Amino acid sequence: MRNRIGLRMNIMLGLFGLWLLAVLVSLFNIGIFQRDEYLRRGDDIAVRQFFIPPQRGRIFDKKRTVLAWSERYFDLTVDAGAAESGEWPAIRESLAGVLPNIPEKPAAKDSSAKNIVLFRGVPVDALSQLKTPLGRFHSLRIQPRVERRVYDDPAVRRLIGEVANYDNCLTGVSGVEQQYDRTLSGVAEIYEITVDKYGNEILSTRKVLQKPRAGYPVVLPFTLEDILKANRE
Amino acid sequence: MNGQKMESGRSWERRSLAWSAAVLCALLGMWGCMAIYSTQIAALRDWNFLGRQIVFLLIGVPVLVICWKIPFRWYERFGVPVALAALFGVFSVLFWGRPINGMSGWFEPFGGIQIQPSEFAKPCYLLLLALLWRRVAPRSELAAMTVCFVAAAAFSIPVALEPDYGSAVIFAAMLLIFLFISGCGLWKLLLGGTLLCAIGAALAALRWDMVVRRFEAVFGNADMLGNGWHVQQFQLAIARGGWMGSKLGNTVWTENYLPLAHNDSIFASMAETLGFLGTIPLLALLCALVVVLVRLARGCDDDTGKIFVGSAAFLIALQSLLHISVNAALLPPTGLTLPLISYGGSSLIGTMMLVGMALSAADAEKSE
Repeated sequence: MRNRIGLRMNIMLGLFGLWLLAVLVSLFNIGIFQRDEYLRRGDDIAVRQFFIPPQRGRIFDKKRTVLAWSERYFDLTVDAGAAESGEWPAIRESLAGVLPNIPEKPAAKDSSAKNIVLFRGVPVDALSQLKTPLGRFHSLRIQPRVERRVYDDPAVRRLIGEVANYDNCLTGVSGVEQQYDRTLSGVAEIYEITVDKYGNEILSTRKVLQKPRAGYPVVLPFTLEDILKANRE
Repeated sequence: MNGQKMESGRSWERRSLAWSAAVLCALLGMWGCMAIYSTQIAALRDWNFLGRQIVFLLIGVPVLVICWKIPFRWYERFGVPVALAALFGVFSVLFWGRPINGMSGWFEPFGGIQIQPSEFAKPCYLLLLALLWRRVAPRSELAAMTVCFVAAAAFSIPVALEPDYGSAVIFAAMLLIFLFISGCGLWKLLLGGTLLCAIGAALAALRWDMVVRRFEAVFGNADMLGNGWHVQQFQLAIARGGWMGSKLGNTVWTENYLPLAHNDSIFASMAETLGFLGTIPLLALLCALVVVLVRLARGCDDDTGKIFVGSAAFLIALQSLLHISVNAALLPPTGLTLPLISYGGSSLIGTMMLVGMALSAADAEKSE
């Protein structure tokens, strides 16, 4: 009997040893052998790439009068799904004291849109007050928007031309804006971050993939007066 | 004279093995505190877990020593009533327990202090099996088996109803291991195993969807954003560890994706922090503890002590391997803790009690 107990304990130890070996093989397989595949899968879940459009260069006349420049605005948006959910009244209530005229029932212009703009051009002092609702409701977002401004005269506007906005990146499509587009455009910043399971950025995981450079200014070889005069003639 | 020398040599060996087991438990407990610290260092989360685990360890070590110093004949005398009290705890938690993570397995007698009776029931259960076997087996092995089956069912069914399937599996599997090392006939054991599987399947049927989902996550077509999410997080955490692990405080997956990184997923969390090579010492320490206890069991003169100490060793081995296998994505999530390492006072102190009682059983022959 006593020998049998000893023998069976040895057999049990052997079986547990085999189990441990299987565990080690599995750990090796995941952690070393197929590591790259698992890391790629992890990156698919957690790594997000973003780009910050470059500041488009300004256009000056010969006397350094600014004829065209860019301005940045911030819009408050909400996920379309959240706007239709039971969460919306609480979201609206949290915004009530910060921003005026939040719609009672927000609706997207396009039914396929993922986000609905709640407020265009949030004042800078209101941005800090929005920290609490933004932290509480992950469906709320602040979206930056860049707009190109031109000296307020039809002749100047015609000369400078127009820009089109592709994903917040301004591209010249006519006039001086198109002619000097390369010079004015600059280089966007591309970076990636790791997000947690709620989609929030994990601090200290930001990695810059492409350094940004603002667009160069363009100085025209004539003055504003020359443009206005030529237009009158 | 030679006999005396041999006896003193054996006694010295037994004493050194017993001290080794106690020291290994304390070392593993400290390792656990470090592991819990590393799961929380970067996120500046609640430091309560580490502080509490240190307190549990400070309680657990004296508990081990006290259980060790209580003579084994006391356990033999009061083992049955103590096991019945533990059984009462396991039953009553079904009615008066506090639900946590969908499981009503805890009492909360005072604010913030939770007690999980099933963790304290494990050593009592093994002691009960050993005592029942000693009393009944000499007359009829089949009768002893039946009595042990009843005891196992009495412990595992209420635990499965909590529902804590992981612990229920431990209670059921420990019965088979206990019967195997006790020298029970293999055919009877096979029959018993089949019966246990049938009972297990019937209990699993109560929450069949959940059980099927968990098995599918490992063995079937897992939906990586649904039922396979938990298992996938284990794999991704281990993969991020690589050979040497991430820097302390740089464990992105542990901090942000692993569910219950300080408890159910602590091994995967350590694999991310320490890497494949870093987990080897931990596995070595756990193996050392099991081997030391088995050697102590072999040294016992009394069969009851031998079987009890051996069962204690295999309970630690079984629970550790189940936890690690779940974390290595070999088995579906069970919610089992890694003994002495995972966060939790009941688990830590319960394991310390078990080892203390095993050391007392190993010491018993010395005095005889």
